[in-house]
Amino acid sequence: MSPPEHIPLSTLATQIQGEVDVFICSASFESRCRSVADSLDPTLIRWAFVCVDEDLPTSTDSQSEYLLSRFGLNSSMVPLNREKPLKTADSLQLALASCARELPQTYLVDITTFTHEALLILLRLLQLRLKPADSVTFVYTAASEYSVGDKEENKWLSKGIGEIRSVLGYPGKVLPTQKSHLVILAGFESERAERFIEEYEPNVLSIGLGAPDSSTSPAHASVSKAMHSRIVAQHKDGVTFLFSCSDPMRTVTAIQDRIRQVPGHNVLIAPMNTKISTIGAALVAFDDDSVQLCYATAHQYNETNYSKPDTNCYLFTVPAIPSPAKAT
Amino acid sequence: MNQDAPETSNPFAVQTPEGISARDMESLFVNVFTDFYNIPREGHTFLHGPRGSGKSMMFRYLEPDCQCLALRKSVADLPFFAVYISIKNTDLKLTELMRLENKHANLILNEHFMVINIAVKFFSSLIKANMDDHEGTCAQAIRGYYADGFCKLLKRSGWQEKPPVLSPTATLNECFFVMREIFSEQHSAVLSYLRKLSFVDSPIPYPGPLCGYLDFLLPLIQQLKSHSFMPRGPIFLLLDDADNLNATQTSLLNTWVACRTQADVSLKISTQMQYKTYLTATGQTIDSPHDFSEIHISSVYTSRKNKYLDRVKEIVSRRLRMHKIDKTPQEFFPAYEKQEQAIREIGRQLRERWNSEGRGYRASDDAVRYARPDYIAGLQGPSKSGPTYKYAGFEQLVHISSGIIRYFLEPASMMYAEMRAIRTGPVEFIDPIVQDQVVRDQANAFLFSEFDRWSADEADDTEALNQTRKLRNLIKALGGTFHQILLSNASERRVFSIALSEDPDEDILDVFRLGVRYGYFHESSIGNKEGTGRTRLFVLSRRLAPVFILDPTSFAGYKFATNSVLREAMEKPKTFVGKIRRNGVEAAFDSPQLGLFQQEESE
Repeated sequence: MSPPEHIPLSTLATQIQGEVDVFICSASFESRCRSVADSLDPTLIRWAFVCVDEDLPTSTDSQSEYLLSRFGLNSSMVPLNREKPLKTADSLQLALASCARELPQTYLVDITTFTHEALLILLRLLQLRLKPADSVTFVYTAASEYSVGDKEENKWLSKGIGEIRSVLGYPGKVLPTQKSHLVILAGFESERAERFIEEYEPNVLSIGLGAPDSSTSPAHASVSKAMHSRIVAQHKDGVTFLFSCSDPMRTVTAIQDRIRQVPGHNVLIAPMNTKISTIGAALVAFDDDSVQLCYATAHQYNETNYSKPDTNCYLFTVPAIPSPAKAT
Repeated sequence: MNQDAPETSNPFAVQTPEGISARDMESLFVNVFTDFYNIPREGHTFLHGPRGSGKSMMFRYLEPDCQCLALRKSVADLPFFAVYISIKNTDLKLTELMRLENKHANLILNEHFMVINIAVKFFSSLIKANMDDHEGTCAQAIRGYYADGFCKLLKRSGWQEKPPVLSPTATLNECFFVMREIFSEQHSAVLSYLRKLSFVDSPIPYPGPLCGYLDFLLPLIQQLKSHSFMPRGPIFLLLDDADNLNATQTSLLNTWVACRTQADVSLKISTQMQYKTYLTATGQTIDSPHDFSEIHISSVYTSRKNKYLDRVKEIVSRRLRMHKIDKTPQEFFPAYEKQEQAIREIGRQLRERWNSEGRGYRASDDAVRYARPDYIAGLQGPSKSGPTYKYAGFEQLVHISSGIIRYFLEPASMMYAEMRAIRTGPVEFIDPIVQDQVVRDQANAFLFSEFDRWSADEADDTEALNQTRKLRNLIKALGGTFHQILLSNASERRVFSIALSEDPDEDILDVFRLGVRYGYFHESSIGNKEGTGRTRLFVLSRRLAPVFILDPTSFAGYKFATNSVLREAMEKPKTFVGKIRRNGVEAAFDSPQLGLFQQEESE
């Protein structure tokens, strides 16, 4: 399994090589949601699904309209809802069913601007529904800057936490006889991480820090380090471990190594770093269904200055999607 | 922690009670059940309190290992057998269960899930109790019960698989292990079924057994309870943090409460004051005291100040002793002596002048009432760089913690860490300057950063945003007003509370409720102005005393306010406090009118 390719967006169309049967992306208040779509040749996309969160502000409408128009008649909107995970799952499921064919299909998924929860649900559906002969490629556009223009100590992505819940499709097997081990893949949002810890009061706490060499930018590594330090300062009993922000298989190894160090615990993972590392968390749960993934909803996002798109993207496949074990 | 805790570890570190050994519990736990007498008694009880108010610690102490040590008794001789059931956020509240909402199986499957979870924990408790059975008679009895009663109960609930056969030589704990394993496997089976629900819209037939409270859990517990190794008293199911149940599970728990099974099974339910509903699964309400008794920890300790002071004194003494620090709490947290001397001097002068200018019944009343406020008022010069009031000294710290032990221990832990950082050698006391600094930082964090944090959590719509804005304004207006009263020449200057002089409007009440939920106010009641009944009383948290420069040591004063006054405070706090400064407090608030028989204050 080769690590993700880090390539200029301008070369993405060449890298993809040929037609894509199904392209899935998510509209967002971030202009990053257009980066991949703009880099593709729309005539080579047989079907495009543009996911749109019903709960997002109307400023997202123009982005979704743009994305839908870019792929013209071959596109359809998939309504998601960040407050209603069942609605998100049902819509995604309906979309995937509508494009199912007997022949093997190629899927390209732009994971950049999905919420972590919607992405995890989508990944589970792809794992469950796709045929082994299908192929899925993921693409992720990093941000050159988050919380654009703010000083490092003032950077923020979201404020306020609504509900903390298990992610649909990843209930885990939380056994009443075992103690709990909370694994946090920390990112920019130390307060959100704090809430997880407060909510679960785990017996063992592992606080993942994005490995500096895997960060999508040195500036992000610095902010992540500062946020990580904040969490550690509050929870001195937490154990720090390094994980990859840009290679899902390395993320898997890091999480699994950490879990193995504390056997016999109920493992809960809160992925809060890049969407690439979130895929790593999903793969850990695919491999071990006793692992529960959890998610905290946010009340407010830094809509106007959330991110500035990078000019490069990461392109990769993962071995478990589609599931190789599934019979055709 | 253990008995030989090293001197370097922090005596005030807050620990999760689940992880504390019975022996450490015996050393650390202060018996508070005289304050909360309903908890160790037969009967269903709700125990409400914010995080850190000691709920889990109480529950942990009720567990058999702690009780056996405390009472020097065997399990069979205990007055009850308590099963600790911690409910974490996603233990039972799985997103998959939302698939069942509004479907007929919702109640049945949720109840089965809860029952199985509790059954596993019940047998875990029996195993942990490690009951003495050297003659093997208990094991023999339980082996007999297993083959006869237990397996029949399983079968009646639809268990298809044949339960494993117990070895004829199985010990008591080996029997319990086998029984627990049966429920653990069923628990996994339920989770596997729920997993299948993730991505289906139509119902999937549930193939497994179904266990309810009345038809399964209750008889199971009753049958086990009848054995000689169990106490004769009730089984307590201690459900900790029941706010973490989903709405369906909450209504089911209420249905169990309504069942009046307390002689055999008493439900002790703790909440962080966000319990979802008091409706049962059939839509009836459960009420106190009819169906259960109810305890609000904050109210108990804010209304009985000496009791709380005594409790904290004992808790701190035990922690100091455990860390081999040979000091009393007062010695370890000394007051700022220069300040105390000055206050004593003012008190002396007040006593001297009492004959000519006295206001209280006794000279000492004037000294108690006015010496500290006069001292604080004397510091309020135009210069901001002058001396400030020092929030230091054990008793003052206890008052500031506002009836919640965590708010004493957490700052104390920070003070200890700070002392270790600035001094070499063992810490034998906390410098009053360090005490003051930590308490001030905590108070500011409570009003500003902490407020920002939770109000962002609340801000899911405009109305919620508006409420948090009003609450912040109200706190500022009341804090500012209470400070003005402290500086005034009023007969009672140590005011922390507002009583409602008329029925509160719903919007006003909602703002206060939000404040109570996040610990900025405590709610109580007091005799109304007319002396014909009682009215609501809201007490500002003493954790805020340093922000508004208030004297935290008093529990005395309150003012009556109308809806319109409170509404103004919520909308225009600066103008409100300005008016008080210019026109005096009586312009906005009424003082309590004492009737022929003075109402006993219940703040």
